[in-house]
Amino acid sequence: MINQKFIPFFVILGGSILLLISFGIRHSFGLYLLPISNFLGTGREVFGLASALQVLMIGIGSPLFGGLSDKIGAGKASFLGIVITLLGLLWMSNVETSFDIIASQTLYGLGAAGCGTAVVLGAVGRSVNAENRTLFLGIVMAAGSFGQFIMVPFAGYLIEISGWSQSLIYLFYIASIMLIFSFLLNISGKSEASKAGTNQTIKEALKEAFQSKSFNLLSLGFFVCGFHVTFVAVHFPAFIEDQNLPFWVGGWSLALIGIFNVVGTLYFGYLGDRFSKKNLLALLYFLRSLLFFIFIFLPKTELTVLLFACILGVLWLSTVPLTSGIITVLFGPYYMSLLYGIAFFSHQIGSFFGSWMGGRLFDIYGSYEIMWWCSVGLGLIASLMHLPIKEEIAPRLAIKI
Amino acid sequence: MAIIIVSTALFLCWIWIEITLIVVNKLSSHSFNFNKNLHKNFSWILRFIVILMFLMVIIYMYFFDYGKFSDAIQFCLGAIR
Repeated sequence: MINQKFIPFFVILGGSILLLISFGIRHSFGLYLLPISNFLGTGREVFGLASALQVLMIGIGSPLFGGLSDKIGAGKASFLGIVITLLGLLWMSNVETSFDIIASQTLYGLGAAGCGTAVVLGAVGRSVNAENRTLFLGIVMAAGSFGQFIMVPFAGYLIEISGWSQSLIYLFYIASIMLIFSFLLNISGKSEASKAGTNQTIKEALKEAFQSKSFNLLSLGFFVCGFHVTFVAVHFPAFIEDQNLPFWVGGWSLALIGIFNVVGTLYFGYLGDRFSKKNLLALLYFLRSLLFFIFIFLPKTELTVLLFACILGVLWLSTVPLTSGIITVLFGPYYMSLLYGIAFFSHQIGSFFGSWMGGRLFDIYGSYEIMWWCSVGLGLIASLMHLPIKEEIAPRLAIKI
Repeated sequence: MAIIIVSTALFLCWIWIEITLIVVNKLSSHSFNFNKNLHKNFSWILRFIVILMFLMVIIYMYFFDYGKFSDAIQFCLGAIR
């Protein structure tokens, strides 16, 4: 029997390691674009399509694994996700045709949903007390951000010393570490908080969520987060190159986004326990819009681009602890993985459009200006959409209290 | 030159974060559950993380050259060679 006091610690530790490794590996795949495309002789389009499908599969898989996690336990659901992830990596290291790369990335995307934010944040949300919940969600997300920060250069180093195929085998070994830590997530089911709302079925939980105006607005707002983040992540390095800035600016920009992403996620997680989460989200989207708006008119020098990267880093994934925190406030922690998974699906659709529209509009107009303006507009809409959200617990939970 | 520009950007952004930390301190100070020590500790944790990660990036950018790094490992662990 585990002491209730230690449950949050073990779940946060397990969740942090899972997100650190899975986020890190997933964000390293960009490094494989050129070597795998060259090996297959297919051009970049096939790998680009495979990556887009991977993003979509994470979105589709998140509510599925979320529901599974809420029913059978986060540890078992994430274990299944990790096994699928490992199969995807193994397949990817042995690609011979275009079909192999598309199928292996799709499989990896499905598995990554199982050991991603929906399952992990749900487990953490169930294990910690309500007073510091957003901060703890922020800590786990910061670990994921840190994973991106350290794993990407490490994967680059592995490719350099051992070649792309062998480096994927090394990543397979690193990913298998997650299997051990997935067991820690199982403990979340033993916490007191997880027992609230257990008499509700999945169907009832979904009906309640979709009838809630606040949940729908929150999910729509999350679409904009995905749009912003993926547009910048995919197209910003190319944008910097178009501005004829020195080559080091691209690398440093991504590094600064990584540093301030960790800081921002922790900071907004901390603020979420002290101020209204929906007001913080409205502020966050407004600040993103303001930042994009100012950036459009600023001369693109080394300093302005790097400063933009720093501030954007603060606002990068800070939406996640606040969004997941609001979902827990609205519906309680029991079906958090499922409901966050649905909101995250909206995020991934936004990601798809951010990546695809960026390339499409650039091909048509020869610049990213329209995309920057779209980002400004969508940010303002998302900011306004968060204002009517009511951070009130569902009536069935209020009656219990 | 690059490191001066990067440090300036980081410093300017950090000023903004420090201002928000002061504003949060002022806004929350009247709240009944506001813990001043926790806020102070949290501020120091953020500062520590930024400095640590910045140093890590500097080390990576300037010393983690692939060729040099593998040479260094081979030099330190002569058995590999």
